Amino acid sequence: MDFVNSLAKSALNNGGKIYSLIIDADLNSGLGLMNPSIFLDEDKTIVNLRAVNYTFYHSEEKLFQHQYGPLTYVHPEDDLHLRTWNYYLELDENYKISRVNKIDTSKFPEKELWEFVGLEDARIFRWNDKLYTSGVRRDLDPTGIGRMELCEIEVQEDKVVELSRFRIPTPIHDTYCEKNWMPILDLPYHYIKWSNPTEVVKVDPEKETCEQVFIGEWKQLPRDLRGGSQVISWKDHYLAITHEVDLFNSEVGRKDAVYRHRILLWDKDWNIIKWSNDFSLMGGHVEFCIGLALKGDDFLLSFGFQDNAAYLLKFPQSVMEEFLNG
Amino acid sequence: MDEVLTLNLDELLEKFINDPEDSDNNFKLGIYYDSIGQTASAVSYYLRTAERTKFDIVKYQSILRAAICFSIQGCRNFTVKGLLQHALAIIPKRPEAYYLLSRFYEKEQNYHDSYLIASLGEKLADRDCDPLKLYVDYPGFYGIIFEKAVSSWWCGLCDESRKLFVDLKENYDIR
Repeated sequence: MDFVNSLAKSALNNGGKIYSLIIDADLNSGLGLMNPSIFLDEDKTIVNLRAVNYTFYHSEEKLFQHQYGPLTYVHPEDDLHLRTWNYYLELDENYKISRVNKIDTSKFPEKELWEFVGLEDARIFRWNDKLYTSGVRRDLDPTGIGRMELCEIEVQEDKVVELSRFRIPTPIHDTYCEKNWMPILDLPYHYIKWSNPTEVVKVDPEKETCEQVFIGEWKQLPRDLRGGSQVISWKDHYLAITHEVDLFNSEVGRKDAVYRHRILLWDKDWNIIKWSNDFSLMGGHVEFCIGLALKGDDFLLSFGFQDNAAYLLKFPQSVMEEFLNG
Repeated sequence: MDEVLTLNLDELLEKFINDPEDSDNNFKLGIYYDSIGQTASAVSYYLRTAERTKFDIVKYQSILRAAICFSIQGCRNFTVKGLLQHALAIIPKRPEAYYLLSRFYEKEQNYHDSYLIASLGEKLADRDCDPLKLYVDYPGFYGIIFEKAVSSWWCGLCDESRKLFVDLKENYDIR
């Protein structure tokens, strides 16, 4: 991809700030921490942080490639699984971590029937007074079928426990892998399943159903828009950060990828009315935003960098407007 | 290294964001994350450094530290070996990568490759080069001779091994 704007650079130039989200290295043996999802839970600022058992190896310039190519996931050689665990974080007023709990999923033992184990890229949010994480799980059959799961979690005095787990069926057609559905914060049990054309689905954990409630018009954009942050309300519109991927092969046929992001704005009837140019978050080739919140006059955007680090970016609303209008 | 550790991470990140292609900004973040045990994060920034700097010595150190990060994580030997081989190719006259790669093979009981690399290092590497700025677990040139002595024994070159151990005892300042 050609050079694109850096959101973080614009943020800093306009009074914003970057914060690192790091838990003690002993908790995860120094391995990958990534794809944090931020949510303002009344007076608390909370984050779901993804921790993994691997290290993402990416030779962006192809000069020091791994034996397996420029992009690979380096897992332990005696464990072929790519494992994910989730940590619940609370941040203080300076966005420093004040509480860390690994989410206790012991009520639902992992089946480990495929290589990817655990709830991946979970967004955190509250619907109808219940706190949820929602991401994709692919370990329940030997072929890696991926389905979104909606998991209620409870923050207790000294631990955070997963109480329930709803594996969301596909609304119409059976598919191999569903992921990155974006929860709509102001519309409980609704997700944007796909951004362009916009497809909104409604789920019912009690009845264990999922139905399509809206399908919009396709817009001419250069790449498929994949899900990113939660969908939040902003100035009488809906707003989200989406991501897109250029997947390609190196000259010798090894897989490689570049990720970029885009801001998407809908009216309240789910018509896409504006989108930004694609942009980089911080200048890396693989970055991923799965959290967005509006706190006072500032946006808080949480993202992973090269699947190996987690950050929080604060920036004024004017930056969002500048990117949307750019 | 000390200079980096006097800065806080937020300051390093701000410098990086202002110029993410600057190798020094990447290098400092790699060193910082490495210093707090966040080896996965460190690897990303070390790789970015190595691919952006024009200085071979910076490439060399970044790749060696990335190898050490994977070694610390454990059970990722294939990756460690590949990075050590990259480092050796960057500056074949420096001794550290010979030592680390020969030691790597020795630990894997791959004694013929260990002997090969130690022998090449003994012949080709500069014994008196300036030390690196980053710690890479290199004890000094005697390390290469030691690896050759150990590996030669297991390759069946027992007389050579005995001579090398005597040489180490009599001629090297081994601490």
